[in-house]
Amino acid sequence: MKDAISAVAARLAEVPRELRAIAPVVRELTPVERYQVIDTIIMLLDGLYAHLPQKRAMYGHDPVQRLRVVQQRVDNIDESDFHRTIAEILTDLRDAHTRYLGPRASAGKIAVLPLLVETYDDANGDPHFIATKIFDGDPEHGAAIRDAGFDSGCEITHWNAVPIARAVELYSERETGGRPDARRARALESLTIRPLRYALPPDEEWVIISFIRKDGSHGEVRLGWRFPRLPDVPVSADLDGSARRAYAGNPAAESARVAKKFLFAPEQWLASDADRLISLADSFARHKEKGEWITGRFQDNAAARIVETSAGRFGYMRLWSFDLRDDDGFIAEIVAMLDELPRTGLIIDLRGNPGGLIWAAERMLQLFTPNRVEPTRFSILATDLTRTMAAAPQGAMQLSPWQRSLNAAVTNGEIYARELPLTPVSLCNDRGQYYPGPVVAIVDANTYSAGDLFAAGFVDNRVGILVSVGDATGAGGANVWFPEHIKRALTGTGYDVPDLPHGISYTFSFRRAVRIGDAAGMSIEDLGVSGHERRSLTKRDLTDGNKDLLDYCGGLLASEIVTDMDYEIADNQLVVRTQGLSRVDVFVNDHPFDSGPVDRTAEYDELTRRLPEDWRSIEIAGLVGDTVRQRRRVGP
Amino acid sequence: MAFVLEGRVVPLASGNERRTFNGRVYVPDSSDGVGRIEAVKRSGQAVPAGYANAPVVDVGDAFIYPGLIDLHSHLGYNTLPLWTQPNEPRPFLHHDIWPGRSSYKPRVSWPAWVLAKAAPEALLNYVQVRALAGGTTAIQGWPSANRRPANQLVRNIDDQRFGGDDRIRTSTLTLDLDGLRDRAERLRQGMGFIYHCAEGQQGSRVTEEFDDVATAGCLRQGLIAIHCCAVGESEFEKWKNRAALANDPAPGTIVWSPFSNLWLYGQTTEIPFARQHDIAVCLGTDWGPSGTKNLLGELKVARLCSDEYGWGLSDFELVEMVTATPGNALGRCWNVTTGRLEPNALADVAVFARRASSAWKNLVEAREEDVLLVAVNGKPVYGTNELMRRSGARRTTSVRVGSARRRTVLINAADKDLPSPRSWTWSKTLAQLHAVRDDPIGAVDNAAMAYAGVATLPDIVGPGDDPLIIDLDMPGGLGVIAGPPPAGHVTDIPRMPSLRHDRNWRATIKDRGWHEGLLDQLDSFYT
Repeated sequence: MKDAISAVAARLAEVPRELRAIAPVVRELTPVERYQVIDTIIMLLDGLYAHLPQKRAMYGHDPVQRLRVVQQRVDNIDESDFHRTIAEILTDLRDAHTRYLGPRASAGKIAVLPLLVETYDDANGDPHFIATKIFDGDPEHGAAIRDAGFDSGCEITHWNAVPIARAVELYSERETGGRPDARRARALESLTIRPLRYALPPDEEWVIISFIRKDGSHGEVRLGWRFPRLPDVPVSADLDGSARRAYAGNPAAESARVAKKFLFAPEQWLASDADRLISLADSFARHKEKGEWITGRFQDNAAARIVETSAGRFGYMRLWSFDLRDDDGFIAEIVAMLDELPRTGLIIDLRGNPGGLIWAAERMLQLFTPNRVEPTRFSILATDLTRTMAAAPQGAMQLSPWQRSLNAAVTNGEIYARELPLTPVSLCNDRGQYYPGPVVAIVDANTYSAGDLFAAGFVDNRVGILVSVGDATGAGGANVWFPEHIKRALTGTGYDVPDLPHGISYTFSFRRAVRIGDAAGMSIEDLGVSGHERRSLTKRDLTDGNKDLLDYCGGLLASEIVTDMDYEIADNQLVVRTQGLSRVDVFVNDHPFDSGPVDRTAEYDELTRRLPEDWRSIEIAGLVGDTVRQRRRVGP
Repeated sequence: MAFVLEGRVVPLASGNERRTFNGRVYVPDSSDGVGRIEAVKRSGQAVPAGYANAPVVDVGDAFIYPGLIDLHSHLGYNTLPLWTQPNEPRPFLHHDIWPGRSSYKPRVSWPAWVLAKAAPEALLNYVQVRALAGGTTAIQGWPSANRRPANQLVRNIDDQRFGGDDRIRTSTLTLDLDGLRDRAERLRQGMGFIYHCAEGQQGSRVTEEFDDVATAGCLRQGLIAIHCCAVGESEFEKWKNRAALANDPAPGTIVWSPFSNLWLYGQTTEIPFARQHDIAVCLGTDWGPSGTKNLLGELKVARLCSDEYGWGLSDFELVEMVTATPGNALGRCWNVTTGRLEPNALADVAVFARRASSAWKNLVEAREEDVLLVAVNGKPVYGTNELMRRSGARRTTSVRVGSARRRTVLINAADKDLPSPRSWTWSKTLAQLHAVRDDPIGAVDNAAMAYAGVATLPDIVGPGDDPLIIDLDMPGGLGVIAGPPPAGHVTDIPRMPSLRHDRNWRATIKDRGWHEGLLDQLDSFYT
């Protein structure tokens, strides 16, 4: 642990602490360059921004027109004002997928304060803000923190002399997020962590935090910003690899997540270096019996442990992020984790998950349901630009499935092309159910993008019970494209999307997510996915490892009707072991083969069948009455 | 006019439900719309202020009960006789099967639709009096309507506001998860939700309806689930656990309709398991095509089921299922007391002649001719000529119930907005329905013209009147609400049946439905 803290402290010391030292040092844009920047943003907003009609309707302003107005006065505007204004216009879309990334001089650095602030509402609904984690490894910070008696668990009352609730409210006005609670959740994070590739640097050199100690006395501490260099581009947005079209994440939130891990879980941060990763098997051996987190190759994305709740012992899986490239490997690791968890119920916690690879999120769902999983659908704004992309001779971004409906929109007046899945349906069902027990998923307003998609798929495919902390998920309903994606899609079309000066960049929501099932046709953007059950965090949740929340979820799991099914095949003899089921249907080579009753009331029952010699695939369905509760597939 | 009922009072008072006594129920003048019981007192106790000159209606040794509450009906279909699909080889698996059978539309949807469109006021008069004939004062399952009917005799559970919002939502048709989540939100706010759920044979796929109700967060105290016959002990246990997790004091309520379940599915709800997990149980009649005519019939079917299956339900427990228990479920949402005779409870009262010394056995065994007086919201609306007169009812009309005569209070629908509407008669109500039966196509055409304002229908739609339009709530076939018969089709509308569970009706039970003879034993209550 000491090593890890020292490593973090050393990394913090690498970059000067003065704001001016991290400010961009670039020459000013010429008026022509400013025109070019605005022209490009307008072209993309008008031509491919997936949510433009919805945002115009919802917020009552037109970002394209606002940009045109700025364009009229590019000669008379200060350089920093220019970038800030454009950034504000896009931020006002309240869409964390769609951002203006100014000159790149600050990229790679993340402004951090050494504390994490979380909130809960008391019985009267009044918010309280708790410093839940504090990093005191930085010598200067450490001294100030110790002198002030500022410990994790202290309640923060003021932020730079502004009452903390008001300070968060003010920050939220500059944040993305379709709902006020989503904006507040992001503002709470940006109080202490700001990835400078995506956000403006702080205005102040330091902050003064007023707080109440655990003994009720009041204190104050002054903490300066630090600017460590940390990775700030999501790995799943990479152009290489088969998943390049399937990124749905909040890159800023992903960077913030990395920064949180760096500051508050330094051992895990160090351990995520490829050469230090331990295998899942080693992790089981070291941690399982102690109830500690089990992690493997995807340590940055998922961890699991067994949790004792007031309603019983269940599996608890934390999905930190879907920012990964290898969805096959990820699914395999999840399956291996499930083998080590109780089969009687699982809590999947996606709070704060900023998204990433859509395939990873949507393919996971099949592991928990006997039913066929339908992925969320995506649509594209029907414009000349998107028609050109879909008809691009090289078809590098594989938009041809939308092409006919984009062309048809010219005559039928549809605003969007038809809705199609990004994750192939076959991939969403290639493995089938693996986990037999009931599942509860937890989300919050910082569960975003691919996290939203996991939640939507979880609800719309009736996988289990969704518990939302707060109103709903973060409401990021789109597949995100970077400039490289757009350029690649337009290859060979004659359209030119110029490289912008000084590394100025952007991200855009390109394909709009539309839900399936009972919520068919509903968008996720701005609305999010609300839980079947809603919970507020308690003080005990913040200070005692989510105790109340996990007890509640344990209660939900304990109330579910448990069934289980397992099988064995040896010498063409199939033995199916059941619990709580009344019938087993067996399909061989995709044809019905046999069906037999089993005793639902017995602790366990078995059904044995001789398989034909030529079997290639087997599907076993376990039913209660006429409803399939378990399903397993073998082969081909 | 305020009046005082004197007799053997069966108040089902909170905390002392089994107590009965000779005493008085003080029913206030409800012309101001309040309709709450002023007091319930033992004989000899002081008369409350303001009642010194109120008429005392002595019912002798008859029992005075809270009015009966029917939490499951489909009133628009309650002129129809029992229905079966000819040559059906086995019981229906669940509720999505029978609406697709060939005789369902001609025998159920189309006649109900024609009557509803051609004579909605008369139809609602008839079905309400049918309920009153069994002592029912509140009933669920009204057709949706553009306005209240001219004659609102029985309390409409689906539309009660008590000066505020309607705090109970209902749905006959199965909702998707999105719809259920909206109801869950209302349940969280303390509202009620009456929902047809898991109607079918044990383990059939409609158990998934219960799964959805659970997933959506509807397993709360305010849920009043009709049927639940496809689910079993595990689901009832789950309901109890989920309600406890939500800090509800108790799980919710199921509405048991044993006649209908046995008629269609050959099975009924596992009542002991529900009770074992603290789920309250009420009774509901369901509807004409597969139900009893009123709660007096359903009580007897419940008695037969309990005895046949060895469930051990007492008569007292059965009486609670039509009074205090549904009263609790509704009153919790409405913030009123109902289903009991207590001060400030809704003044819904039913007087039954004494057939047995036990008040509980008496009600279970009661016949329609034992119903002596029914008051709803403090107003006498049905009863013997003498009791109606003595309790202040005026301008009543005679209703034949077997060999007995009762009186009810009807007004001419065309006068509904007038300060002194003309009275109306039961025979004219029946005549209007029979006229539809005689010429269903013409009757629907005439009604359509009246609705369009191009014609008047004497005594039904007056000049400038706002005609009543009602829509039925049951499926008319697979996946659609009951719709009209094909153009030009002369719908065969059955004769208006009697208001009793009489010999003719009982004869139609034998060798039909899937009850394996159990319902034949209803005869034993009438011979």
